[in-house]
Amino acid sequence: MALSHDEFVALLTSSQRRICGFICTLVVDLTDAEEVLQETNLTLWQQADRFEPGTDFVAWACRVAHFKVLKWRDARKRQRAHFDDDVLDVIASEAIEEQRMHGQLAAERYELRRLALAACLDELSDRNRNALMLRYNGKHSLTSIGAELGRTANAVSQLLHRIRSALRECMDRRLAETAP
Amino acid sequence: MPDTNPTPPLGDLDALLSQLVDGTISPADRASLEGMLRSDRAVRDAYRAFMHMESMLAWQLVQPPAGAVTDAIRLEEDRSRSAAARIAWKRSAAWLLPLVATAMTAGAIALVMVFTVPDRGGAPPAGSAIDACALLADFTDAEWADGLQIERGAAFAPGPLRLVAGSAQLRFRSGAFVTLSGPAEIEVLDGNSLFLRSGRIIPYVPHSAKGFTVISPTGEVIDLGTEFAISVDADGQTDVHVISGDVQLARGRVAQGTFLTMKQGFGGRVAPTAAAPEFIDTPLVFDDFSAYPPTLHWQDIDSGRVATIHDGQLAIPVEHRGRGITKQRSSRIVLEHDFSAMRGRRTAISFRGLLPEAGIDGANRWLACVIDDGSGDPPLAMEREAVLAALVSPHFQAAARIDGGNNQQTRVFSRDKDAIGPYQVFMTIDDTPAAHAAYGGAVADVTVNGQSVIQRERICLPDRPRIGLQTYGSSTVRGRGEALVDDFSVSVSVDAAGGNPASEPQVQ
Repeated sequence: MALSHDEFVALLTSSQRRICGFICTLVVDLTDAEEVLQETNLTLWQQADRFEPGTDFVAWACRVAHFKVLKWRDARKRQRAHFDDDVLDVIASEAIEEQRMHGQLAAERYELRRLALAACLDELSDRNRNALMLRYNGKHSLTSIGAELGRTANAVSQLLHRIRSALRECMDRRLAETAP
Repeated sequence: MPDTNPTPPLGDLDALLSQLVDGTISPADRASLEGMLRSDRAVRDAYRAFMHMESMLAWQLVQPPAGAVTDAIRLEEDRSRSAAARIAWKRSAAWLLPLVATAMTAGAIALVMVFTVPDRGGAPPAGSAIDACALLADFTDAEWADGLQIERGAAFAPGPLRLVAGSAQLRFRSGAFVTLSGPAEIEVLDGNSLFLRSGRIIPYVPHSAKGFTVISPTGEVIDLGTEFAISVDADGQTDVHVISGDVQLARGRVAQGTFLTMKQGFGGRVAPTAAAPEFIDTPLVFDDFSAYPPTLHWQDIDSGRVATIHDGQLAIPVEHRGRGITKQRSSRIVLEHDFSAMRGRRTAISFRGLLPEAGIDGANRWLACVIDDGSGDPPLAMEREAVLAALVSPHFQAAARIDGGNNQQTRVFSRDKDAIGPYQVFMTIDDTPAAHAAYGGAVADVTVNGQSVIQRERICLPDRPRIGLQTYGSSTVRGRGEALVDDFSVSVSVDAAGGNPASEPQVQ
């Protein structure tokens, strides 16, 4: 029994962040990840009939996304790739396998991490939050963020690293607190 | 669990990953990172956790549309100033489309002229040569003449451009978006004008692009509104359809000649041999919802009420309730009208839609225009009984579902996360003998904010078509909002055969 279109769309929309996260591990750049995500969505939508209810949706979507990433990498062969194909393929198959085996757990964990991140973002100073907004929302280069903040590109790079580490520590702390 | 490991196995792994995503990593560090990834599962798990956080940050920090519009406008202002901003603009171009729509003033009038160039051999007019007149903002299945491969963001200098199949979108320097549907042959003239030799284009002209000029072989001056479709056939006959705004269509300059004033839903034609432009489309229904009760009878099927009109817009509830598991709810509004006149003609449906933003955070929601055979319960957009459905949603900017005999399929285009509109939706159904000869039956086109969603897809037009609007909401969180619809029009071609009385062409 196939899912109704409405059910399918609900699954697809609620999984967008996690599919995007998976793509991001393979293409690194967020703008590129969004591009591949769109291609993936189109294919998922077209091939909705092939999804078997009862199996893990995100695992299926990630397999499709993996193909899209391969296609996308082929189309950009002449450009510098971040890592060799063999490394990325191992990362992709480990992620898909984990999702396939522990889908429900992964979904809950993802949601907990997301909530923790949201809380941790609220704890940031305005200045640090502003730096993140410039980096992720506007997708500006380090040089132009530096110009905005009155810092060198190198200093911005250091700053972003410190903020990410702080967020990571904050998330780990919060997750440890909420753990049963 | 791998991705809850609090510390990476190597102290500097986080620093390396930070440099990787920020593009500052040295080749040597990148190579050593690759080595670690290859040999160590723990590093791979840490890497995946890091990249997931990157992606979460991006989703978490994307501003709501209001802020994004400001950003889009600022990018527009910046792009003439700095090279860095210009690159940012190039990379964002494909994503900006719905935002530009939001930024557009509804009443903006653009001046678009089409004038006679009988001897055009393809050379651009002297003195108009400027580099990078337009950029390729986006494309779908685009196939260019001579096997040309063109990347998104590519810049065009003045010159010819031939799209064999698919669709493509050009962003002119002035800010005008032009969607080409293949086959189409144009020539970029400068940053604010083009020559349309043959084919169909849909210019979408924001305030900043006032004066945008389209030159066609038959050539007339057309003073137009914010969005319109213009096509030129093999004989040079020029057809214009108004999607939104007001249009003046004339032979020669508007100031000098007789012209037609066309509002939304009207279509006009300049034939090679005609002395003056003439109407080819006339509205069957048009409702701007300025009167209450509304001029047209809109029936809310799910509540049994007459549809709600307020602030000059048709309001359709979008709601969902429940907790824990996903609950869905739809509202269907049907326009009670005899649409049998659509048979054998070309029909254009146009409206503007806005989805609710507040109170339904994280919810899936859409607004759809659905055409069915008029019997039984009005189908939802995704049901088999729907002959054609055009959907807009913050998640899937636009989608269409077609049911043409055995050719049932769905297309979806995701363009920009969380944009709630406004969406200018334009659907055409061509059931003319010409369409039957070329495609074996009626064909449909759907365009949203100048972006082509489907083109010339076969549908089975029923004898008594019914037109409805449907909203849909689904969420684990209870919420309620309203989708708003404005300027709804359905127009049909006046003369399906398209015969024109022969007359002397007027010399300018």
